[in-house]
Amino acid sequence: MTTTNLKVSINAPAKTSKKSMSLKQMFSDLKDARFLGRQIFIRDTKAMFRQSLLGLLWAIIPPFLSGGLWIFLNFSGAVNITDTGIPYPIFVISGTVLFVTFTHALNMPSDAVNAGKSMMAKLNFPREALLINAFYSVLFEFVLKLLPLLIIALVLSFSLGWSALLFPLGALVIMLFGFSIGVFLIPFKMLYGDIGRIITVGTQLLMYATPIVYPMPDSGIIKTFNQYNPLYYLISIPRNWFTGLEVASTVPIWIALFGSLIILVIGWILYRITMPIIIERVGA
Amino acid sequence: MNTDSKDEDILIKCESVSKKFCRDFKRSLWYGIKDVSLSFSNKGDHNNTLRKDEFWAVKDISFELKRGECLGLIGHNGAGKSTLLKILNNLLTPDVGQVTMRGRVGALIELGAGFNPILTGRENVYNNAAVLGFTKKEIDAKFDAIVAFSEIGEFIDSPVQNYSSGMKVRLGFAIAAEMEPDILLIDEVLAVGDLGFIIKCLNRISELMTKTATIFVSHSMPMVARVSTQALLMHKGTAQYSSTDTAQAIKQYVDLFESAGRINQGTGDIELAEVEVFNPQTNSFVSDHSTSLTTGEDLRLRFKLNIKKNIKDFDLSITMFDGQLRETLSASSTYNDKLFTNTGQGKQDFEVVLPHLILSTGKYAVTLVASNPLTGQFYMRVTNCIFFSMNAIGISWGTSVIAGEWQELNQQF
Repeated sequence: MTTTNLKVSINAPAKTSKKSMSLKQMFSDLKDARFLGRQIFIRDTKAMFRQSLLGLLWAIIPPFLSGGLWIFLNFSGAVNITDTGIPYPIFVISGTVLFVTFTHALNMPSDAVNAGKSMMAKLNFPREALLINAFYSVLFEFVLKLLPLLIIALVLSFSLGWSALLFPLGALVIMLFGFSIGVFLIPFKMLYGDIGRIITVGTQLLMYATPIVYPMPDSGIIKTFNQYNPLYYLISIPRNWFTGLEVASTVPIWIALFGSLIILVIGWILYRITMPIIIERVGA
Repeated sequence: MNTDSKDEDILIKCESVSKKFCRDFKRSLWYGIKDVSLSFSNKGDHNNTLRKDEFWAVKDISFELKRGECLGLIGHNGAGKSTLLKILNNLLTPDVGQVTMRGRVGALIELGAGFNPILTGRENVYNNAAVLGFTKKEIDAKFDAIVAFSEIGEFIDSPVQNYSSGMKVRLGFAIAAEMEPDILLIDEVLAVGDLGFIIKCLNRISELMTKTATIFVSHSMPMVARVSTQALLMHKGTAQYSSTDTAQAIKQYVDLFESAGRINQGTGDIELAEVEVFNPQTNSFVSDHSTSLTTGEDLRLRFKLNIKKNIKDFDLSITMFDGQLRETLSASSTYNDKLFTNTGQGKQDFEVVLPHLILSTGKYAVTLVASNPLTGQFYMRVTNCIFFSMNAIGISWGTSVIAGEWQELNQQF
């Protein structure tokens, strides 16, 4: 057995930050983490379904319910929503699916890291695995939520155009948007419980402030606010693709995509730098 | 295997490693943030000084370990063993010094990490192995060996939540044992499991150890003595003793134990006034706990008792407890029908000799008892009345150690 060609690793102070910021090292760690990340995802998903009677249905029920509620409110006349140009159920459910995907992507990174905290305190494995697991989970849930949307479209015999194929791509951007912010927030959320609460309250507010269950008004404060709200664009553009409505401009999508990627890289570096400190000091 | 003592053979090189912790949580986080920002700039670092509320969890530890060697890391709870192990495992960054590791690191630390209780043993083998850094291909190839080693049998397809704790440890160990590391870190993992499996594990560890540089953390001294080629005794973060003389390290470890206080039970009709033990080194009786005996020496105890008038006669006995509170030796005056009578003077002196002691290495606590010869009621029962340590001729699992008289016979019997 030769010892000369073994991988040498050095654990010394001060060098850590440089090591965590080398892009080459980051991507090599990411590569090493793929199998573990997938394995954790498979483990959690399997366990989730094994302990439930309805299984996959649980992924489908919530958007149906929340969508159904709005449909009921609208048809009963309790709320009065202006014409959306398309069947209201499709409008509501496609919007809520996108928004729920966003909040899931926002929360999943820190949830996954929290779940893996005790493992991190004791074992040395590529930390990126937890983020990969989180991303798989977000993707998986989105695919599950696409199902009810397609079912509704079928039931209402709503004809989907070619542009509907762009819908998953648009959804991918909103996923990335939520995910990158989620990754960026991990260290803050782990240190202060307040952050998590703010996010919960904030997303609830956003749900109503953003034209998800109602169309964009022609004027007023909602309109002014939503002109600067990236979520409005990230939801309305894919929705218009899905329903075959006209999309004025795809520029917001591109801006959001690049912005997300930049935030993601910054958040990733931050994660690599702060995680050892947090794990060391917060422990398990 | 390469046995030349070249520099490349050194798999673990630990150079004056120190690590400080902070007692106050919020301040600890603040220091952490400060340290990170300092590491970006090149100016000023105070890694070497303690700030408010900080203490050295590990201070100035240095050693080198080659392939085939095993370092037994011993010390009391809180001595810094686990912290050092975490630094070696790259989970913590040292504040001072550096660790250089060559090759794949295998950690037998948290057995069964990543297990999900709802999933079957089969599925969890993949989860745990993935956490330990196996690739899918490696797991597929080793799966049968893992199941065979764990002795789980048909239960491999039952959910892990139905396993006994021993089964979980067995499966966890079986997976970890399939690693082919260059460096092996072992931290007190064999506490659970029956003796048969512990022996199997130790054999497997011994097998692995010939090819690895091993750090072995345990509170079980016989285990340390059995597997280690050298020992490092840590005390309050520092290296108290480091040598290839593991027996000496173990002795020092045992001596570090603070002697527990006396516990006095009994009716109080007889009280212990004084107790002394003969120390062969100083050739005198001493009343402290410093006496150290080697195999074959006699234990001589002298004690003075205050006896109340109402007591007529009584039996005397002593019992020796080892570090794990096992009763290892007892002696009683009743065994040869000796009865002591109250002379009515109030104070009486006694001596007891236990000849040719063969107890194993360790620290022993003596319990002294005076009891009613008829009812067995304790007039006096003083636990931990004095301590002495034993320095046996060899280290073993046994509670007694002797050399024995061995010879080869000239003819067949």
